[in-house]
Amino acid sequence: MIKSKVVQLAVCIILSAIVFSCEKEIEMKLDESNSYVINSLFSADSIMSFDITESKSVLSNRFDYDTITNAEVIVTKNGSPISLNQQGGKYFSSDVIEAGATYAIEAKISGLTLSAETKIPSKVQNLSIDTSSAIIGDYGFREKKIRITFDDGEGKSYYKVSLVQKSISYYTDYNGIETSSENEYNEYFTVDGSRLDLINSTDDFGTVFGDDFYYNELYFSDLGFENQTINLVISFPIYSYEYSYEDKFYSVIVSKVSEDYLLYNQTKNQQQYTSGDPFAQPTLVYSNINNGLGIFAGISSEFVTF
Amino acid sequence: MNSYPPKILVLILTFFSLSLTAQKFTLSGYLSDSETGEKLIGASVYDKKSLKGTSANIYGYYSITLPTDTYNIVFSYVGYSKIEKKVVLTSDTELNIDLSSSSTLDEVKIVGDKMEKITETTKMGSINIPMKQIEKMPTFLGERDLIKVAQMLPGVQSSEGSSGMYVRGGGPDQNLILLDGVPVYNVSHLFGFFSVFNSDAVSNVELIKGGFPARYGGRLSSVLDIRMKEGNTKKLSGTASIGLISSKLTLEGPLGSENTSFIISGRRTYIDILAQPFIKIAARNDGLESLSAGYYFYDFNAKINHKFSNKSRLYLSAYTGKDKAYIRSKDKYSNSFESGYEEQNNKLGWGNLTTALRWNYLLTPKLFSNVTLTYSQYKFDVGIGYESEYTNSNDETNFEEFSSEYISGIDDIGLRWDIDYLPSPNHFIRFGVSNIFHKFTPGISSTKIAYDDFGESIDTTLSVGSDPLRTSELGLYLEDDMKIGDKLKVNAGIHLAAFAVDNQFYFNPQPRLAANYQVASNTSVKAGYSRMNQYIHLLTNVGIGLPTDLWVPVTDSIEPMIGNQYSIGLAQNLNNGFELSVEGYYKTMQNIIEYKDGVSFLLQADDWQNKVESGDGWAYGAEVFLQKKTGKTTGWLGYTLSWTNRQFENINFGEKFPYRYDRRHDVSFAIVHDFSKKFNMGLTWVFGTGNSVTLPVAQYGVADNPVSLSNNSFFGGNTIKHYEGRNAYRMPSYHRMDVSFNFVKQKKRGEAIWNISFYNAYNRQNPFALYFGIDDRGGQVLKQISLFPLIPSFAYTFKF
Repeated sequence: MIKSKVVQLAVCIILSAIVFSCEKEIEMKLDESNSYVINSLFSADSIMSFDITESKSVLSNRFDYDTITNAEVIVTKNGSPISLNQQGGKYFSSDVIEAGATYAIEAKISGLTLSAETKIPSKVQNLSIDTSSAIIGDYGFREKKIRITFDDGEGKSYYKVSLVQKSISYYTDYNGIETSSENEYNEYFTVDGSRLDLINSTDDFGTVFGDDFYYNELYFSDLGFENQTINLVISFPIYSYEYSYEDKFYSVIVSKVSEDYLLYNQTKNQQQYTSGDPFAQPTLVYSNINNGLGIFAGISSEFVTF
Repeated sequence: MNSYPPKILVLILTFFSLSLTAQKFTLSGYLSDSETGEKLIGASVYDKKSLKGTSANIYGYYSITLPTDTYNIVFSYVGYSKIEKKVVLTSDTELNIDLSSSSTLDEVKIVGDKMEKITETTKMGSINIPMKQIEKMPTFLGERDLIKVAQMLPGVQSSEGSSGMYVRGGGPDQNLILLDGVPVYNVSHLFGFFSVFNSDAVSNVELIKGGFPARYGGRLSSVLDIRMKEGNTKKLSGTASIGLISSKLTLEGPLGSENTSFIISGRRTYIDILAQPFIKIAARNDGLESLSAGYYFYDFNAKINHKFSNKSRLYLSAYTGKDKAYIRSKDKYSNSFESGYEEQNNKLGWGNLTTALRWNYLLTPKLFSNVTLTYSQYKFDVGIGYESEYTNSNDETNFEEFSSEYISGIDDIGLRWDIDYLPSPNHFIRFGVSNIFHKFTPGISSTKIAYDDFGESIDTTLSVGSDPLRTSELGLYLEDDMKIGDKLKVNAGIHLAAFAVDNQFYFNPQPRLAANYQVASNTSVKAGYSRMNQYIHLLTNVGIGLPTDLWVPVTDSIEPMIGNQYSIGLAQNLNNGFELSVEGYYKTMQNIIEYKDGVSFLLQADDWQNKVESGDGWAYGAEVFLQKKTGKTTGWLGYTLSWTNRQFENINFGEKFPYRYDRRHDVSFAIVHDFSKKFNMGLTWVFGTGNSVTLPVAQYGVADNPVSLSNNSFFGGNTIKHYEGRNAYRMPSYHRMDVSFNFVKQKKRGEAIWNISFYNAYNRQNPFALYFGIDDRGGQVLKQISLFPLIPSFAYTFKF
């Protein structure tokens, strides 16, 4: 009798264990430690702006970040302090950023010193574009080629090329008033880059259409063209429909970017592109902030509009 | 006679042999199991007085050359009763010995006996797993698994439910897994939950983790040498098993005479058959004409050997195994407008085929030759198909067909010639040459589109993918297991490897050295150095072994992997049959590959080189292994303390990071106890520090981008996930206990064994994967997926 009871009990325990433990998910504790973040990407001939925030736990559901407003911040240009203004938790430089200069930041927060230094690249020299080639293709798909030419300077350089389409639409609103709206976005384009040292990974902020890879932003180095003239030809789609009530402009923007800027954008874009893909290796985002997170880096840009 | 090996070689070696052994004669022969005729690999043969001896090679052949005299020669093997023979050695003598199995060898008798002792061999990092122990150990779903047992040895890491082995910091592709000398490329069934090796057909398993003898090459981290049984030469016998998910049948016996024997062994799962009634119900509920779906795997091993004479023996062995998942459905319909059918056919399959044709020939009693022709194939095949046809009210017919198939794999044809030369008890010389022709098929997909749209028709097939790549891998080796004086034994050798791929040619000499110095009668210190090269890589998901994993060769930009391993150790024979070994190792690995950040594992074969990075790896640690092979209680206790790191220029910003299977502490405990002839019990317990994974710990905002309109949130929002580094987060530790009970009953025609096993006996929820999820209150939390809870199983085995 006792034996049969023991057997019954054993069977119950085993069955219970099987029922309650199949693919069970368990909550776990994660070590939560916050860091201070300096975020500042700036461009020559523009004012530098940045903020200092506090990172939050990966488990946090908050949408915003705590802004640090009581930090002791010093920004220097070629070793000399520049004046800063603070407004709404954001810092602004009084003067515009100078191409070729070295900028450094030091922020003291609660006994911790965050620091970073970066050199703003010199400007792109002799940028010109040739838009004379005819639009090719049939009604369904037409594209235009542009030749971009500029001179590479001395030293190792990294470039970013983007094509911005700006359109202004004119219409009459419900009240009968003539009005207009502007719209800007980065146009996708292909590149004849067989000789270029392309830095974009194939998964980088672009898309495949047919057999071609369309870039949203194109990064490359001057490898093979050091101190020479760089030529590249990009092609972008021309949509078959044109609205008479719309003005459309394109700008080719060629930026010389610092290595810090390049690494940050490359890794940040890659992380965001592969976010949610369970088969993708996670991407670590680059940071040049000592004792903290974020980025402090700049670029120099030139553009031509057509 | 023309087919004999070059006579000049025989003459040179014979002359060399004679010069070394003047006034000496050779005692040689085969050591076999008295009941089955199975050869006893590694059995000991020694002179009782001088203790000079040798051991049988992998074909059970021994040879010992001694001065003319009268000797008491002892033949012994673990688990067998030893035999002592008086031999008057006045001429070359052939003596074949059959040893009788002893189910539980009396441990008192073997104390102080000169059985194969770890203190006397130069082998380092080498463990022989007794098959008799494996038979009594716990099973998973009734399946006994060699790889799972190997994973419990010190220095070997694994993950839950996986057949992959990570040996001393190496990757899963760095293990040379040989079945009868033929490399097996995919050892996984059911996504790694089971291995392809059917233990009923296996006679011997040896794992080598370091101190590699020169005869092995081609992989960096380990050799798992599995030998199939040869087949019972005495009588027809067999084993039949029924388990929870599969059944097995093994038959072996002589063919005509004792000179020819065979073994065949098959295993098949029957989940698909058991599920058929449920599938039929599902088909009926969905209104389908027919529906069949299922998953199964099978293995089939066969071996036949024939003894032409005492000098010549031929073996032919083969293995084939396959996993297959399928779903086929057909739906017929008819209404007032049209009638027709739709048919779907989807399949997923992968499997291995290996064969070996082997010819053993005794050139002289001291020269044992083995020529082997091998073939190994791994193939992965996935396909989808759709077909429909309908006829409208005007009797016009429309037909559509679409099918697509993707195939990848690897084919090897190899030829090798190995010679064992035993000029004296102080030298066991091995040399040989091998060549493997690899054909890599990294991935070919073909698509067929056909339709007949009321008279307008098309039928076309399009194939795309990389062309098969043919390469050649040549190996030459020479090694000598020598005894220098009474206390020092050295195994020195060199392995020369060359690899040709496209227009690239790689050549790598690989020196090997292992030494054993006996500091006391039961204690020795050992040291070893191995240099290994590897010419093929496995592109694999780091977490689980998928059949989509691709084997690819080195290229002009992805160079061969190089491994250098240094080890030092202490071996001691303790009382009551215990053996203790303590080993420290330091291993460097160059040109290992790793996926770059952001790369998806589901990659196309043609651009794989752009998605991986070559770099370096380091592994170092210490292993303690206490083993008991004899007596009523057998088993082992293993402990590993280790560190494993990787470094790549463009991964983790060039900083070193821990390998996924960097495991600081690893403990394994396995025990088998025979309570009586009718009942025995097995228990295993494993503990391992959690795996290293890449997990974000914080989040922060994205910096505003100047002069760019594709700002910030284009793909993934305004948040950056912050990782401390690649593999910087440690999963919870892993531990698990398995228990088995075996009830043995002697029947009129054989022996019946009931096995009851409990996998994960205390129902530990071990981590398999981590992910971020949402809790009941809507908050984000980190969650853990556990695969296997407590799983009881049973198996019934009948041996006759």
